[in-house]
Amino acid sequence: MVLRGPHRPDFLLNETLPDILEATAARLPDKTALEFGEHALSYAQLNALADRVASALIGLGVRSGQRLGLWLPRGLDLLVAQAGISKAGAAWLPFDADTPVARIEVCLDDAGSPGLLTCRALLPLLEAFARPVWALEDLLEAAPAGEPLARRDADFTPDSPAYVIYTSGSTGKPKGIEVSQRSITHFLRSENAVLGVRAEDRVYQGFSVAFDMSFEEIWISYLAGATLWLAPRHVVGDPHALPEVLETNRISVLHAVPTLLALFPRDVAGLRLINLGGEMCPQALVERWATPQRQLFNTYGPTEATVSASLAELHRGEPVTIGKPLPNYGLLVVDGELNQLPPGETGELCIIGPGVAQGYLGRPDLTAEKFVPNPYAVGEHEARLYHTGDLARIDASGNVQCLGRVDDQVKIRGFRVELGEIEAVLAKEPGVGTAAVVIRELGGVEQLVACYVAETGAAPKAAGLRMSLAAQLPPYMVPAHFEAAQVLPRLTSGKVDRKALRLLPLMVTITAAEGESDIPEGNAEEALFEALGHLFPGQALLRGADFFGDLGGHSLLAARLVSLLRADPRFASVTVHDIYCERSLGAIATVLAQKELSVPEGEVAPEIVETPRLRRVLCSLAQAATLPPLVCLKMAQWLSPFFTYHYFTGDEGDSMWRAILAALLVYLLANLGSFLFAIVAKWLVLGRAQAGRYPLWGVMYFRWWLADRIAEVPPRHLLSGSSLNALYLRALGAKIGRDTIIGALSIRAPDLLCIGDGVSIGSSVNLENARVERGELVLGPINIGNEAVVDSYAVMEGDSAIGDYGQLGGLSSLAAGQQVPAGEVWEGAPSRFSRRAEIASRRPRPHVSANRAAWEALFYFFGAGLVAVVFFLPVFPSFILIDWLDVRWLKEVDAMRSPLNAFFTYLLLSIPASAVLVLATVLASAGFRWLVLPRLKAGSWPVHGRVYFSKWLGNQIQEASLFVLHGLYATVYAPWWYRLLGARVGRGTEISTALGVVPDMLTIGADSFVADGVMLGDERIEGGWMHLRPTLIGDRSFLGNGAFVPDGSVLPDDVLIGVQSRVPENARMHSGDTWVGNPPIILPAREQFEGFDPALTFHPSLPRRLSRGLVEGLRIVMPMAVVIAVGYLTVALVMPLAAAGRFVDTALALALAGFLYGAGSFLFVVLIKWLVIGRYRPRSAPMWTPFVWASEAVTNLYESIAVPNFVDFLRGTPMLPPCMRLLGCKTGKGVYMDTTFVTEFDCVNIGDYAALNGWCGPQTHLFEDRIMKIGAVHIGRGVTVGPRSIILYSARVGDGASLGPLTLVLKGEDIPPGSRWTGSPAEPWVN
Amino acid sequence: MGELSPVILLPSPPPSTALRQRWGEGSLLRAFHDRGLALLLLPLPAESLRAAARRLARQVLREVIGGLLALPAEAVPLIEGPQGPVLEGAARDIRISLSYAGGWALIGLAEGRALGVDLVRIERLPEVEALARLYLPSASRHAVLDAPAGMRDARFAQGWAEMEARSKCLGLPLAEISAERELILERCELMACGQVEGYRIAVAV
Repeated sequence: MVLRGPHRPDFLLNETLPDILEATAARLPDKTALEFGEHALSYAQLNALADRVASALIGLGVRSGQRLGLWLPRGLDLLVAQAGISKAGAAWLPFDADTPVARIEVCLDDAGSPGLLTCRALLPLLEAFARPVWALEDLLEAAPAGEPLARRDADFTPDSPAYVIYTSGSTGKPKGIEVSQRSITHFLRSENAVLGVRAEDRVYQGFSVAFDMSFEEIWISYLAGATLWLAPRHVVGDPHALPEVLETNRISVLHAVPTLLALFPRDVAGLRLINLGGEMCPQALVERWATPQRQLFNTYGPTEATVSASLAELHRGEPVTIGKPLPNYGLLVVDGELNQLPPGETGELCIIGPGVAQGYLGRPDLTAEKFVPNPYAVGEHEARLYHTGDLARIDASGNVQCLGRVDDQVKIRGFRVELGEIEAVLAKEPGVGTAAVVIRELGGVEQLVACYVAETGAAPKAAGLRMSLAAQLPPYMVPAHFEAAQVLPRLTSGKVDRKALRLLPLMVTITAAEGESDIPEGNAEEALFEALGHLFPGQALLRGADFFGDLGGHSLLAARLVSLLRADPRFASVTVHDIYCERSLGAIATVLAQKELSVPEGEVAPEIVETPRLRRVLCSLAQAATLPPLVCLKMAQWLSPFFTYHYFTGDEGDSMWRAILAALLVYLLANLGSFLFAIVAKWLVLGRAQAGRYPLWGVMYFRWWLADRIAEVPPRHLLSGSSLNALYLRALGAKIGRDTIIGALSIRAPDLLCIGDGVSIGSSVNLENARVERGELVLGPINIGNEAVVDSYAVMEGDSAIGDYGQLGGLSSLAAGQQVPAGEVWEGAPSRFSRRAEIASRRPRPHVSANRAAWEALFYFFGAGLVAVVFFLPVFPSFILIDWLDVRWLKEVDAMRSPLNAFFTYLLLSIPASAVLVLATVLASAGFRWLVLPRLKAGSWPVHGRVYFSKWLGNQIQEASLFVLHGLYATVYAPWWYRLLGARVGRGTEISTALGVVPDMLTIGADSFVADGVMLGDERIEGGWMHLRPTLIGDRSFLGNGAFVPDGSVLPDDVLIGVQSRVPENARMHSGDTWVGNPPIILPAREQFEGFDPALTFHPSLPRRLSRGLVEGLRIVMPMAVVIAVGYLTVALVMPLAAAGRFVDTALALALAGFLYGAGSFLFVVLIKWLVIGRYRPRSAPMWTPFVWASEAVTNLYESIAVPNFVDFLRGTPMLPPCMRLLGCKTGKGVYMDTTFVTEFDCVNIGDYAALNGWCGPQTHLFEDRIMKIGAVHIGRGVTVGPRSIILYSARVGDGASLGPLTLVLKGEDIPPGSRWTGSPAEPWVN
Repeated sequence: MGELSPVILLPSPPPSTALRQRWGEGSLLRAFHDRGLALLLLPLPAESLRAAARRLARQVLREVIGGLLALPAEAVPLIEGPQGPVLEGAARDIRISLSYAGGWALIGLAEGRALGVDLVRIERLPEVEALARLYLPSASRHAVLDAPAGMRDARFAQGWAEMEARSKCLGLPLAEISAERELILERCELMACGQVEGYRIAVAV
């Protein structure tokens, strides 16, 4: 059967390429046609320049129908010259910039060309050239703008030749294929009818003009009026750079060969159309690149049929074919007798239609062989038929499947090569008698091998032959190996027996290959090439060679390579993952160089600083002395109103309302007073801190530590996101500019913080300008320039800066010494340049007058007070309930005589009271949310407006309710809580502590999992505007601990985002993906935790649901019950002192009670941990089992009682490690811990003198696929762990190693001793 | 180790019609129906190119599955997935795993369960100990390190084939061994199977 494309007579026009360009120039004169670097040409300019070139050529005697050589480097000039030749009425004959001059001469001779159009820079190479050579620059000077121009003559018609392209020829001479103006212009219209390139498109131009796929880029763009972006030479072959380049230049259409696209490390946002061609398209590419938002096409066609003859739109899950014929084209599969074969039968593919070329230049015999009369013609355009030489069959859907080559043409790296052409060139070399070239697999890869027999005497050296052939042939046609033979095996017919030749043993030696290899440069390349030399003896090692594709590597060889490299301590950190990711030898060497450990020979690890014991003890004593006042200050905030209420109640005639008012007043004063106290105490204790390095546990360290602890006493969350935050930070010593928005922030040395005007800082940002490393406290400045942005969850260390209008992305880190230059956006951990900030397109900052600012400050002040009061009110119903029960039945409780008995009695009473408190808090939140606050809508809103205030109050609800509702997170009740706040949460979804949630903007599907500390759809603030976008998480997706989900993210179903990883752009995500790190990288496969009963993971039974609900209900209620019971016991014990008017004694007693409560809370958690869990050991447990509930309950008790009331105050003291030992951790001597983030305590091992900085932690468990997996973490001696770093279970950090800020050490990783690592996931840290 | 799985040696080159008649009604069909699992060992023409070997294996795969499903080979819905050929539509329950080494291609077919097969040529590797330490689970690692010199290469080939078969079965990329990876690899079961001289075959389901 003949497959015919749609019949479109409207594409069969009498037109030429100049007609097309001129029509677009007339239609869109000012539209940008070409962009190259800083230069651009409009269609009118391109047309005018081409006219001048044409005029000059005509002046030089060029006439219609002549074939002109075209040899210029990439750039605007090349395309101007190409169009100029066409406008002169001639055809161009293009050559790559690196084509040997000898081959250019051969082709120009063959085509009878009158000359070569080039540029001045290439003239020195053409001094010995036999025919005329013209430089473009000279032509333009010869035909200045404004002068009358000569036009092409009347002989120029649609049947004139448009271009000639030379392909490899079997006789040793390249063969030229000439295509007419009519054929090519028809092709442009025919293909674009399917592709649909539009004037609004920006099209990437990367192909050489010597490759006819360049027509799809260049001339289809001219036809459509699109803008063509010309890639610089260094970018064209760099798949790692291209995604970034394409995004930066807003490319919407990409034409590429599949090999190039396959090497792209990531998706490209904004790319709406990809057209592949030139070689077979692997199925994997379709799965990766065909998305609902993007069209992926596969084109097929030999040069002889004018670029392409068929096209398939590829879809995921569908087999790759070359599709159906283009409009007016036809395809048929024939046998050796030109009989049509039915679908399913394999035969030779033939092409018919107006694209079929006239034939080969000067080769009537070959033309007659390949271009034959078409016996199945139904119109004049089908008169002839072209034999492609490709094997194919038509499938059941009428698509054509291409199955390889019929003849001995071969494809090497996508290039079609006639072996005979190489043989002919080789046979002409001096000293070579006969020669044969075959393709054979050497070391697992297909390569060209040349075998030759010496004419007489000694055979010529391979190196000389290689050099000579390289000067005459394109690189892909130069054989990889030259083998001198005594005789070539022949068939009885006398022809070379190629089969026998492929089996001929080769005498290739390493020395020979060395001569053909690139010369390694630097330690990394030397080590790599040496290792490869062992694995691939005799093979040439080229930087551009692909380990798998070119060298023939496979998994075992990759493993052997890693093993050989790791034998060198400098490259101990290389992994097999690096080999799979990088593939090319050059890229692998680059990674090796980055990972090269700067450990001098003989030195295993840097010195581990052992802090003096005496200093440590003295500091510890001083810190211990400050603990009681610190703890009781914190306690006072809730104990004082508690006491006040009971002071004013209990007697006949007491007014409950007066007691409530008094307690509220005391509560507000305690909160307000804590801010004033923190400010005064900071200046008294620390004064103004200076940048520098101070001994750990020394006097300066103690002062800094105390100021840092005091700063945590006030409820800072009340100020987050309000203008009051700047006032408070200024009072602590920071320099803060005007009109800043600062979210929840940790700042470790406020004196060293300088924030400019108009700065926006997101939620949960850590400004860690105090850190401990190698026995020293390091204080450093942080400078943030005017109008800069620091997105949520970012970390900045001291000695870092962001320039004016600079931006640091979400979950990104800026380590000491790093600076974001003005106007740049840096992202990632470690952060790197991402793009220029779009300053020009920013909306103007909303103006705020001084009066307005003052009113806003008042609003925030009273708003914060209101929120504090509203969320304190629910304690009173619980008080009333206990008092009522107490009066009725438990009057006999005598706390003075038996305090313990009294405590347990009160605890019993407090359980229902606590339940009332939790319920009342939930109701207060719901009431506030639904009665006071409007539903938020997506959009951009000024930060000085109603919508922002409303969002701020919404955040305050979540923050303020945390004190009571902390236990609710990570329970079965958490989804209900979020639904109550306005979020849409599907069935079976588990949510732990999500941060930055804007409930109205959040939708989570069914059976998803949100782990601890996920920044989930936080709003973004920039330039005085808040941007709210809906965030959607699909079904069965997983967000790991500390993940960052930017607002506006749309996660498909079944997506896994790893721990401390950023969600990628929406266009890059597909269902089933696993993304890890920042910038996020996709993992090819993830661990599958199978083998557990679904009833214990996703589909629990009703009894299990009820059991878990009960356990978690108790977990929510019990911590508050303990607080209330302690409060009552305290009141009972201290009230007699107050009643006696001994107010000083009362205050002291309350302080003592507060401290005892704090310490008691910790000991209580220790007791519960050992009673309930015993010792944690590595194990896996499904989520719906009692062990997991108990473990989570213990963690929750630790975090809600022990940490805030006691353990938090021990951060940065030598007392914390021993306390951790009580819980089961194994901690060494002199350990510095500025973190309490420990869960499965027994699985944590910390070596002597290790330093764990702020908010970092060993993460000894993960929930994946609803399985809790517990494993051990080993942190060696003298290790420094940077702020917010996470070490996942089964990982080891070697002695003396350093981890930078926001580092993620993956499961099972082994960080070598003394090495420095940073980033997510961890990579060697190179300064 | 699970039940014994037979290795069916295919003729070379495989004549398609004969293959369908011979194996469609014969031992392959029985093995597949009885155990839901079949292994086919395909001898490759000497010095065949990698691409040619792949094509040949896929051609055989089409013929064999065509025999199982009573379909013409060209109608077998075989497509290229990211990790090798897969079947789609109603036939997607038949899982495929392929491995090539030396002069052989190993084809594994399983019904309704994940499958990984691997074929490794026994050869002398100078860095065998380091490789065992870096990549093999503890049992295989000890088997290699404790082996007498003459058996070390065979033990390594066995360990490597088992590790690769398990990885393929679980869809895991090759990676350095860790306690975590070791636990995960154990999630699939190894089947005992026949061997070819000079090679080691492993099958994991």
